[in-house]
This record gives sequence, structure tokens and C-alpha cells, in this order.
Amino acid sequence: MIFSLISEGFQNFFKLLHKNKLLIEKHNIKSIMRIGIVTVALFAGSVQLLFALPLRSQPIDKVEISVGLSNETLVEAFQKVEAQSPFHFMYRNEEVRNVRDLNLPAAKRNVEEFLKIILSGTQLMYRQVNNQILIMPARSLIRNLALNDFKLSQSVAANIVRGRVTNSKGEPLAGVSISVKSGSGGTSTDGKGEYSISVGETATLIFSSIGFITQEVAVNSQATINVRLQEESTALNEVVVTALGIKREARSLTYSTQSVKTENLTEARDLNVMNSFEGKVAGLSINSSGTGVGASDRVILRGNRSISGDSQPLYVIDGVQIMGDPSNLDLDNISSINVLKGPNAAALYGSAAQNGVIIIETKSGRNNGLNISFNNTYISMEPVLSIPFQNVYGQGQAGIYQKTSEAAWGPLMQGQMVDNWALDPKLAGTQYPLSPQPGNRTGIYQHGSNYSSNLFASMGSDKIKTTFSYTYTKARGIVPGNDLQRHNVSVRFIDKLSKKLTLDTKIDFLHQQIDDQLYEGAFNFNPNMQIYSMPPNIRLADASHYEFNGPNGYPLQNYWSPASTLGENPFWVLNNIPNKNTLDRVIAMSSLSYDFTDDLRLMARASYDGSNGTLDEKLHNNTLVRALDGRYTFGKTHAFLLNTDFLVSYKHDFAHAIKASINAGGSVLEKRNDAVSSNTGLSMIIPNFFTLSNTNLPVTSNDPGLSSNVQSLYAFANIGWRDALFLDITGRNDWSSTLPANSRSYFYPSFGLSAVLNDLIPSFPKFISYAKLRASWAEVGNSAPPYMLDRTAAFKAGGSYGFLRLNSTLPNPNLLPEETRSAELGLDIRFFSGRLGLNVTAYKTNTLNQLFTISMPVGSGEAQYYTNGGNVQNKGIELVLTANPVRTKSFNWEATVNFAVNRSMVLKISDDRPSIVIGNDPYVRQFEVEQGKPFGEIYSKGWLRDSIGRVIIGTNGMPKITPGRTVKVANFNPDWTGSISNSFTYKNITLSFLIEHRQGGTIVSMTNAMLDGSGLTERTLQGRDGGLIFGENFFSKETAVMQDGSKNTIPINAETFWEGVGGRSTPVGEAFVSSATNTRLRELTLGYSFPHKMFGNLPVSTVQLSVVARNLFYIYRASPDLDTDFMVGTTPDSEGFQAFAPPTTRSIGVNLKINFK
Amino acid sequence: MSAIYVNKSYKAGIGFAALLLLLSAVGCTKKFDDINTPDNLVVAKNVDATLLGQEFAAAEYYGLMAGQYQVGENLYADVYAQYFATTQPTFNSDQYAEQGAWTNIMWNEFYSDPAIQLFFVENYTRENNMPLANAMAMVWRVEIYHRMSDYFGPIVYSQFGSGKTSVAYDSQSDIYHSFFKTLDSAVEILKANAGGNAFAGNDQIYKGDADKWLLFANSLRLRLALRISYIEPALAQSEAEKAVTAGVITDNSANASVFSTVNSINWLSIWTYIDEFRMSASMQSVLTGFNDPRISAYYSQAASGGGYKGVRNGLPASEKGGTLNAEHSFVSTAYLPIAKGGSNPPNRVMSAAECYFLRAEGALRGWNMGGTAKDLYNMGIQMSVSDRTTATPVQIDDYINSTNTPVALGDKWNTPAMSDIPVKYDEAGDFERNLEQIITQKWISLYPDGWESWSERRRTGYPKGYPVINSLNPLVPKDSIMRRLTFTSGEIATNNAAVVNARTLLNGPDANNTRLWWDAK
Repeated sequence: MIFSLISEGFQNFFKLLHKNKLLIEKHNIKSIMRIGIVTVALFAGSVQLLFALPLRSQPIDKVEISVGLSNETLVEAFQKVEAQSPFHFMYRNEEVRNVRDLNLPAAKRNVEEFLKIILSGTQLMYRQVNNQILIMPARSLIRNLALNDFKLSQSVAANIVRGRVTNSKGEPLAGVSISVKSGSGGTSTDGKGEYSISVGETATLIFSSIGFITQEVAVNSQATINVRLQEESTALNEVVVTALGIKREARSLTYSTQSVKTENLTEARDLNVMNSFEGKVAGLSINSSGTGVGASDRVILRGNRSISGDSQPLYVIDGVQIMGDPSNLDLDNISSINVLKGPNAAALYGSAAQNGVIIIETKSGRNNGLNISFNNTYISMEPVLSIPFQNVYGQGQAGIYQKTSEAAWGPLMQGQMVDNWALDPKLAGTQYPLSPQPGNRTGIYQHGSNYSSNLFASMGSDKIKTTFSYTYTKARGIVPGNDLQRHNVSVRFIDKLSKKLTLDTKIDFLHQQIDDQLYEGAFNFNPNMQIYSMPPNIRLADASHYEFNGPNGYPLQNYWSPASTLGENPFWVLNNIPNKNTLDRVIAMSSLSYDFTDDLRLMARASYDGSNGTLDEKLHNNTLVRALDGRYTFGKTHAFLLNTDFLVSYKHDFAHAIKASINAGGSVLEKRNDAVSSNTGLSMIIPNFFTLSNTNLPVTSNDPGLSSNVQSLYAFANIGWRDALFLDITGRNDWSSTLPANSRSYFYPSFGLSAVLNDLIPSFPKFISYAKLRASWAEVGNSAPPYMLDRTAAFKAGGSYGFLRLNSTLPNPNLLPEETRSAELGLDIRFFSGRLGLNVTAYKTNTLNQLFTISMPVGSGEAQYYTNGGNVQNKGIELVLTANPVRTKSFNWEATVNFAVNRSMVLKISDDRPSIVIGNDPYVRQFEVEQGKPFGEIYSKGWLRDSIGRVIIGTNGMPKITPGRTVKVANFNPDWTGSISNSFTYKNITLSFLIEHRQGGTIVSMTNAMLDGSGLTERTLQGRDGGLIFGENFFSKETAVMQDGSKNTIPINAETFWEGVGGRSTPVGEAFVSSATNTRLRELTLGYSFPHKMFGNLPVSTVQLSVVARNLFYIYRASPDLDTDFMVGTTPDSEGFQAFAPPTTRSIGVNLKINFK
Repeated sequence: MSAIYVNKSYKAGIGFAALLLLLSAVGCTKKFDDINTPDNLVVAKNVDATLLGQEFAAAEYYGLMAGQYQVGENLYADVYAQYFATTQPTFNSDQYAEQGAWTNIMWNEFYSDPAIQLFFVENYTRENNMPLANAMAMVWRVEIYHRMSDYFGPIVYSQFGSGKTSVAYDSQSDIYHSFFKTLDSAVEILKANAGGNAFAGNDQIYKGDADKWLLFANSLRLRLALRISYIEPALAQSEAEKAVTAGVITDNSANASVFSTVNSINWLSIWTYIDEFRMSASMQSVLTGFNDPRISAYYSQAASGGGYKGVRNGLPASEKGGTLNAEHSFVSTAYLPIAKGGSNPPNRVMSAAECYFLRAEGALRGWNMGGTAKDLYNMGIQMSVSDRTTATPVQIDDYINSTNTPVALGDKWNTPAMSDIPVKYDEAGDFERNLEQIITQKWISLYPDGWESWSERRRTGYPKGYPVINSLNPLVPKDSIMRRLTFTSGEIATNNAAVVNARTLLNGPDANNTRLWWDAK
């Protein structure tokens, strides 16, 4: 039945898409069919799931049993019933354990009769919910577990009220308790969220459920009452997953965390899960590299703090550290995401957590039977190329057309006939009209797409919870040929092997293939550079003739400037340098926990995150300059992280007021990686035959990679007083293999205190529903990268018997662990029953004893040495404001404002070196950390100035330029960042949007330096015929003077100026600085939940259709063309570096989510 | 009762086993040292005599800028010597614009690789009583450092390897004086070890032959002596005479060249797989004018239109690109990549021909060089032509006696003949005319060693060469030549105090037009 259901779902979905013309290509049909087959096969393979399918529940008075009892306990009686019936009993031990010595002769009875008999002497009563039979004390008024006492059914009432209880999204809620106000009796909802209850016509029903706001509804003679419960936004009892997978109540936390709603992630989905976080967490910054679909991100929490490390946070999934980031993991299988922003939250994750932790929990199955859902998204991505190109002057120099020029300093394009640039002999001597081709660049890009389909199933009973998730993702980039395909499969079982022993096992597998990953930066193979750099007169039809048959029978490149070192025909790059990346990744985890008593538990766990990747790159013959004879490269990478740990947990309520939880554990973390790469070198025997043996000079390298082990022992305690005052203490000792023997063991502690003021102070104002003050202090140690303790020498092929070369980095046998100290103070305050909430955190972190290399004068015999030192300080404030301004039965409005300000200061580096260059591209800029300056100062060439800051102009009218990159021109760090998200729900419709703002920060744009240098942009139109006077009619903010101090009056022309200051080799960065301030509509979703009644008898419980959009438009942008999302690479020095980033993609799509009954 | 007992022991068992297992894993840090040692590298303290040869081989191959030949030599010295002209529009060094990034790369390459290897070898051989190997390393030190000094003037030399955060530069005068002393010590050991061998096959020049190293050491002394002929003529004469007396390279069989292998290929061939330079117009004027038999060994005919055609140095970007490459001569097939038919020739360090030309100049200056200027000049030509071509002795004689002179080029600039000197030694000519003949022939013989030729062009003014078509450097006008490279940005960043002091050791500002100490004509 399930099979037909699923395939029907697929077919219907396909029909829907097809009707709406969302599917254009035929091959999509195949891929969808294939998903169906694969999914079903995998599904069938999940035997546990099938095994656990529920039987249709029968009423307890219809199931006959034959049970006799002799001096047995009630629990034993239940077990006997369970053995003979499909039912399962639920009860509290302390409430039933005193019922014993039961005697009953064996006879055929139905279950109800049996229960009536054995419960007759007790205060207990029963109720059936599906196959479960709840046993509760009759006197119990606990609202959450109110029962429909069979006795009450005999009472006065006549009126039967039925209805359905849903959450704000219209999804059914099971187990919601319904009680009668000022009366007795009650019921709860079943798996479909439905209930029925007998009450008086004037009664009032109370609907309550944990995590939802209790709602009262007057019956007023209604026969049907459907109720939509609002989630409790106050989250007073919110549970947060913290270190090592331990769940804690948010109120007891002494540090700052912020959770990310997971629904939005799967609706407005992005290929990289991290991109979906943008604007949703105060103090989190994300930049993407420019490699197209599947590009990786740089994620920073609370600013950069490491001089040589990368400052990126640690990712933890289901309590275990993973390797790298979760960018390629299955979005649909995520149940919660929590961001621990500072090291305070993280002392227990160990060293890697000094930059914060992002905690992801995968779905684990619920207790209420089978859930199947199907989630489909199709997103179309439109390229938005916002660089202001000029379309007035054509290819050439000095106003004269030159067919081999890569610049646009040529004549006005007026349709005059000029020589064709084509190298193809067939076109020799032909001419064509020189006229603007405004669509030639955008014409090369295409609409990208991101299609993903997920099947999710979970089954739960109190013995075993099973989840299964399969996602197929297929994406097409905006650059033709750049495609991604990904399969994610996850299975998780949580088995209660015995009453005390629990096994939690999961495996996530993914296979990913990326075709034609884009090359980045100012580099030949970056298609964006070649597309942007096309002179404005190049006709697309001419350019698309990118190759022709050469004299030797091999294709040659048809490019206008064949002597170029940097240029290629863009179509050559798109077609003749294909590359393919594949990745297989497995994350497996298994943990076993044993409850010695209710208070004492031991958990032992092992986890593995391993990946294997391949890279295949085929450079065709005549790829200009870089591979004139072609080159083939093949490489493999392998890496894994293996973690084994144990944890002993002890909880005890020492007195009525004091609760303590004490944990102690240990772990061994092993990291390994290696890589092998081989290529044909630059001289293949036969062009374009791509195999490694097709060369006389194979180049092979193997990299055994970086190995490290860290062993740790740790303990932590949380002590609560009256559930209102909490103290956290942690301590951890690490032993790291990368440090010298005498410093490889290091200890670090943390302390935290939180106070829930409204519970502590009796006279607390009533309009403040919750006020928590928290303070914490932590220290985190961090070890060094591997292999820093010895100087080494490397073998290299060459000479008669090989070469051996000592490397130039001097080891430091006295390395110390790095250390981050952090203090944090925060206030969580909520007003008006949680309708308005404010969470403020102020923090300060200092990262000391940092490990970094100091450049030596190379003449010292060492290029650099490793040392400890420095002090980078991050100070900041984060503010999260939540509001629920309107909340009625049918309309709900929620808003969240995030605001963060962070200041990264380099207080100290080293007395020897007050400044360190931590990265540079060889041309435009240098990324430095400098004592006493903000982190990440960007230096470039600039104008030469006199003592009072005036720009000095040479006799040729050109500003004089500093000889080196000595001028501080930019710093990418924002002044502040913020976002506003709003979510409106009206009946079945939900509308939400997110606006993100970034204030301040500057970048130096290599894109502008090169495009301006070639006269391709609008900026270079002014002064084509001369008349530009620096400091007067352009760069007019500058005061420009001649060497003798007199005013500059010498006119120059645009070509002289922009060629002089732009270009690739020695651009003057100061001329190409842009502000990074911008405001954009980051995300918009409009969702509709189809009314339940629409589905009639179909096995469908909810259907939700959403229209989603990301990056729709900029509300404000200081620079016309800068997208601050994109950088070159993801290393620390990539911050604020932009060179031929891909166009922004505006994405719009639909998402269909179906939950089956 | 028994059930309870079993149950308890079961609990305890699980707990005990789990704890034991995990704690035993946690407790072990013995393997840490192994884990923290890379498998593919040799730890420096384990480099011993058995690996020293590979280290010396690396110092030899990389010592002459093999690692950064393009930015270190091809784009600077080779164009300033006017062997080649760049055709790549964005390369401006040919227009006398020093590209700081290139200079920086070149400096760092030298000091962070070959200098380290050689320093290690010299120290190891001295400390472990390996005098012959130590002497060879000393000679090689003089060879590679004199080239660095000839680019910059003051450089880091005596203080190299101090491990300090500031490393002082030595003046060029001090460096050259110390070179002669170093050669004295090396020669003494080499003489004492006549017939000996060190490094064997790992020596990429002479396979460890001490006698040949002795000839090389003396020849190097001769080169350095002539270099200081204008600034310290007396010392120049005594060192030159000392070298010739002790015996310099007189036959091509003793030429010093660093071997090329498939994995350490000829360093010019590394860069001929890309089309970024062509024959210089100066070479065209001289070689075609002389009807020089070496022309086909040095250059190929233009792909389009044939013939040997050179490009004028210093073309502005707007004149480069396009069909320039096709219409002009590239290197000869020998210097192409192996896959394109290149023969991967050895890398020339010093030849018999150079020694004869050095001696000819010495003789011209009236020094005792064991022959007359004319005879030594003729011997130089003979050695060079027979080394580079298959010309017969008769053909070589004809060439030596040829009165051909360089020719005008008939190009769009109406470029005149580069000079009016004939091949045949002009016995009636004055000192300068003879010097021009000697140096111009030496220039031809040194091809493609632009490094040495640019130094000699600065010292003597020969070959005359052509003015560049355009200069981007106000300090170095079109009709003058680049005199040096400036101190690097990396040094200014990491060793500034030393750079500030080094500037005081120059004859002028730290600029491209400041003459080096020996550049004193």
C-alpha cells in the first residue's frame, strides 16, 4: 500500500509541476521516476520500519483475551494483556506499583471488562488512545494528562462535541489535552488531532499541550470545535541541546544561544545549508566562495579571533563533532539547529569550539506511530549581473579599433565595418559592423535551477524509534555546464534494548557530483572573468564559434587576443576545460546508554565522519598560456574524523530546592587525511586524449595529510536552586599530539551563573513575564597544527638521484596551546505573557598565546618561524527582539529583530613583528593583522600624498602612486549587522520575509581594477577625449597638488588614467574601494495549507504549498555592483576580497510538502 | 535472589567494561610523537652524509634561479641583455618598469631555498670534516651569490643563516673582496685533493671531479676580477693573473653546466611552452649581419614569413600581442619543451669561450693573460662556435676572419645596424673598439645566460644594443639601460632596519638608475 501511495504521490506531483510548466526538460521526468524507484527500494530496505507498522487500532471492548491472575501485580497484569492483545499500557510506575496481590480466574473477557475488574479496587482509571491504554489516577487534575473517564461518560452530559486541534501551520496535534473548565472530565486528541467529548452546552473547554499556549473555547451549543493552538513563543520551558547532546532547559543556561527555525530551511532551500542561516542569527556572518553550485562558505561567529587559524565555528551533529562543515548534508533530516555563539557555551566541546558551535540535531522519530512526508522543491535561479558596463566604445586602444585588443579604448561604436577578429582561416579577411552588443554577457548565463525531492518516514513506539530520509538534489548553475547532483540517505534507530539499555544508531550517507565547478579569482579559467571582460562589440554568435580546426587536426581556440596571458574565449572556458568533483561522505554514530538507576546513566559512543573525493580536470589543447598542449589531472582525497567517548551522568534532587546534575566523561578524537594527485604535465603525447599515461612527464604527488589525536577528560556540573538560580561549572583537560611533550596537556575551566529574577523576587512586576540574568566566564585551550615541532626536508624529483630540500620554516619546540578567554553577560526578558521578548548579550573574548608564523627576513636562513603570542580581542553586543504584536484566533503576526555589533581589535602580536601579512593576492591587496589596529586591515597601492594629505600629481597629470602596497585602503568588518523577519499567519496562509542589513565595511575590488583598466565600465566613459583633471572633475573629494604645492590643472584622458591605475599587475587599490553597506530582501515565503477536508478519504493529513524566494532585490546598496556574499575562497584573508565573483542569483521557487496519514 | 544477583553483576559488568575500554584508550600518549611526524618528509636532524648529495644537487639546480627563472631572469636580465624582447602586453619590465612582485618572488626564492640548502651543506661538511665537499660548496656559494649581488648591489651574504629577525646586508665591495678570499681557501683544498671526488654523481656539474672544480674556481676568479676592472684595476689585474696562472677552463670538455634531466629540465625550456617572448632585434642585427653559424642553434625562423626576425625591446602594450609572435623568431628547437622536440640542453654556467674572452680583455688591458688579445679573442670564438655548432674548422676560420658587420633591420622604426664592428679582430682599432668586439662576441657566446651578459653590458657598455622603444621609468630613459633592481617589498616588511642601512651602501638612491659598486666605467 505504501508503495502505491508513494508512486501515486510522485505522479501527482509531477502532473502538478507539468501543468504549471515548472518542468521543461524531458530528462527531469526520468530523474523523478528514478527518484521514485530509488526511494522505494531504499524504503523497502528499511525492514525495521515495515516491521514497526501499526495495526489498525481496535476498540478495547472488541478485543478478547484470556488472562488469569494469582497474587500478581498490576504491572504483571498489564504485561499479560499486552502479550495477548495489540495494546500497550502507559502508566507511571509510582502510581501503579502499590497495586499487587491481584487474583482473577482465567476466563474469556474483552480488555475493557478485564480492566474494569482489576482497577475496581483502585483510584486508577483507563483510556484508550490508538493502541495505547493510558492508566492514570482518577483524582489527577494534571491538565496535560486529563482523561476521559469511562465513568464520566455515564454522567449528565448529553452534548457531544467533536473537532480537530492543529498547530499554527494547520498540522494535526496529537495528545492535546482537553478539559472542562470548572468541571470534571476531559479527553485528549488522537494521532490525527481529532477528539470528541461529552460536555454541557454552556461549558468551556480548555485545550492545552506542552509548548503551546493554552486556549479556552466556550461550547455555546456547537457540535464541532476546531482549534488552532499557537506555539508558546515565550519558550519558558524551551529545551536546548547543549554540549555532548545533553538537553537542558533554556532557563538554566548561563550563556547565549540562538536557535534557527528549521521549516524555512527546507522551503526556501539553498544548496548549502549554511546560506539559509543568513540574517537569522545575531552575530553570525556568512560569505560564499565563487565556485558556483555547491560552493563552500566562510562562517564566522562574533568576529575573527585567530591570527593564523580560520576562526570558523565547530559543527556538532547529534552530539558529535563532524569534520568540516555540514554544507552537503540533508536539510530535510534536520530537526533543530542551535547556535552557541561564544566559547562560554562551548568549553565542553574542546579546542575546536573556541569559535563557537553550531549544533544540529537530526530527526529521531516520535512516539505516535508512523509519519510519512514528501517534500518537493523546485527553485529557479536568475543571474543578476549588476556591473555597470559601458556600451559606447569598442575594442581597441587610443580610440582606434584593434581586433586583437582585450580592452575597450577603441572608437565609438557606430556600426562602421571593421576587420573580424576571428583566427579561423575560413573567416580571414572578413569584416563586420562595430556596434554595441548589450546582451552579450548576460546571454551567456542561463537560468539555474535547484530541484530537490525528499521522502521522510518515521515510526515510533516506546521501544523503538526509526527514521528514514532520502533526498535527491539536482541543481543547474547559472553558468552553463556547472551542475550538481546529490543523494542523501539517512537512517536512524533509537532502540530500547531493555528497560535500562538504549541504543542510538544512525548512518548518513551522501554521494555528490559537481560538474564544472567554477574557477575563482583573476584567473584564465574563471568563466565569469572571461564573460565580464568581453569587449562590448564582440557578437555572441562570433564568440560562440570558440574553436576551429587547426593544421594538425586538433581544434584551436578562436580568441581575439591569442597572445594574452590571462584571456580566453569565454565559450572555450565553458566547453574545453571540464572538471568533475565527486564526494562520498558517511557519518555514522552509535551510542549505548545504560541507566543504572533513574539518576545514574553511563553512555559510551563511537562516531565516524569520513569522506572520499575525486577530482578530474581536462584541459584541452590550446587552452591559452596555461596549457597550450592540454593537461589531464586526476586526484583523490580521503579524510576522516573518528571520535570515541563516554559520559557518566548523575542527577539528583538533593533537597526540595536544590537539583544537581553532574557529568564526567572522556574522549579520543582522531583526525586523518591524505591525498594523491597526478597530472600529465603540460606536454601530452596525443592532445585531448585524457589519461595519465598520455605523457612523457607525469607529475605525481602524494600528501599524507595532517594527522592529530586529541584525548580529553572532562567534567561538568549544573546546580539549580529552586529552579531559578543556576550555577554551571566545567573543566576539561586535553592531551594533544601536536604539542611538545611538556605542554601537550592543558586544562581549561568555565563558570556560569543565571538567575530567573521573576521567580526569585516575589514582588516582580507582573507585566514582565520572564527575566533572566546570566553571566559566564570561560577559557578554551587550542592545540597547534600538526608537524610544527621538527624542521623537515622534502624529496623532489630531479637531478641524477633526486633532490632533497630543507624547508624554510623554523620549528618551535616550545609551542604552547592557544588560549581564548571569554566573558559574557546577558539578559533575557519577556513582557506581556511573552508577547514581547528581548535578549541582550554583551561579550568580550581575548585570544591569547596564538600560534602563528612570523615572517623572518629570508636571509636569516628561515622564511618564518612558529611562535606563540598576540592578543586579539572581540567585544560586542547582540540583541534579539521578538514580538508577537497580533495574536487572534485566525491571525498571527510574529517579528524578530536581530542586531549585532562586534569590534575585533588586535591588541598585541609580537614585539618582533607588530604586523603580519596573513594573506595577499600578488597584485592588488595585502591582508594584515596589525598591533593596535582592527583585525584585517587591507593594504594596497595608493596615491602618494604630501604631509597634509594632498595627492601629489606628476608632470604628466597622473597622480603619483606609492611604490608598494603601503596604504591602508579597506577593512571588511561591518560597523553593525541586523535583520528583521516578519511572519504573518492568516487562517491557512502564512507569509514571511526577511530583510537583512549590513552597515559599513569596505573592500578593494579586483574586478573593478581590471574592468576599469580595460575601459569596459561606465566609469571609464568620462574623459575619453581628455579633460580629466584629478581632484577636480573626477576624484573630486581629493585635493590634488603638483610637487611644488600648486593646484593640479593638467588634463589627462580616461585611457591614460585607468590603464595607469587599473589592470591586473599593479592596480592602485585606493582607486577601487567600495563600501559594503547594503540592505536586501533576503527571503520571502508565502505558504498555503490546504484545508483538511479537501482530502476526504485520501491518506493525506496535510498538504502545504509554498512559494519561496531568496535574494529578490536590494533595498539599498552603496556600491552598484558589489555583492558582499561572494568572496574569493573561504580562508581568513578572503574577507573583503572580490575578483570576478559570479553574478548574484535571484531565486524563486515552489515547495510542496505532503504529510501522509 | 539469584536473579537479583545476576542482574547486579550484569550492570556492573557493562559499566566496568565500558570504562576500562575507554580509559585505556584515553590514557595513551605514547604514539603522539609518531602521529606528529609527517610520513613523506625527512626530519632535518636525520639528514646526514648519505642524503647530503641530494641536498647539494638541489643547491646547484635551484641556485641559478631554476625555481623562478621567468620572473627572476627571463623577464629582467634576458631582456636587458637584449637576447629577447617580451611580446606579452602586460609585461612591462622590457619598458624598464621594475615589477616589485617579481623581484620579491625572485629574492625569496633564492634565500628560502638554494641558499638554505647550500648553507646546510657547507656547515655539515665543515663540521663533519669533509673538506673537499666543503670546498666545492664554497665555490658554488661564490657563483650563486655573485649573481645576486650583480642584480642588487648590497645583499644578505655574510650574515645569511643567522636566524635573527634582522639580517644585515653587506656592501658589494665587501662581498667581492670576500669572494676572492673564499676562492683562495677553496682552491687550496681542491689543489690538495687533486684527483679526488666528492658528492660523486649527485654533483650536477662535474660529477664530483675535484680537478674540474679547481678549473671552475679559477675561472670564476677570472670573471670576478674583470668585473671589478674599473673600480679596482690593480686588484682586478692581480686576481686575474693569479687565476690564469693557476689554470682556467681552456677546453669545452671542462665547461661548467648544470645537467638537465627529465625532472629537472633546462630552465629556459620551462618557459618556452608559452609564447611570451621573441628574439631581440639586437641579436637579429648582429647574428644575421655576421652571418653567424650559431644563429640556428639559438633561434628559429619566424613561423610566418620565415627568416630570423627580432623584436625591438621596450614595445608599449599597444604594439604587442597579435601576430607579433608569428612574425618573429622564437628560440631554437633545442630550447623548446621536450614534447615539442626540445633537446633539454644543460644549463650553462661557465665555458672555455667565456674564459678566453675574459683573458682577451685582460690582455687588452695589458695584463699577463698568457696570450695576445687577438689570439685569445679568436680562441674564444673558436671555442664557442665549435661548442654550439657542427661547423668545421675551416668554416670557423672563415667566420673569425669575416669582415661582416651587424645590419640595419628595415623595420618600421628604420632600425639601423646595432654597431659597425666586424667579426674579425680589428688590430688597428682603439681600446674601446676592441673591447666592444670582445664583449659583443662574449655576449653571443654566453647566450642564453642573460644574467652574466646584462652585468657585462652595464660594466662595459657592450653590446651597444638598441634604445628601448618606450620607457615607463622616468629614471631610466629609452637610450639608457637599467642599472640594478631595487630592494624588495618583502625585505622592507621583514628586515627594514637592514634595508635602511643597505641603502647607505649604494652609490645613490635605491633606484633602477643607481650604478652598482663595480659599475664604474
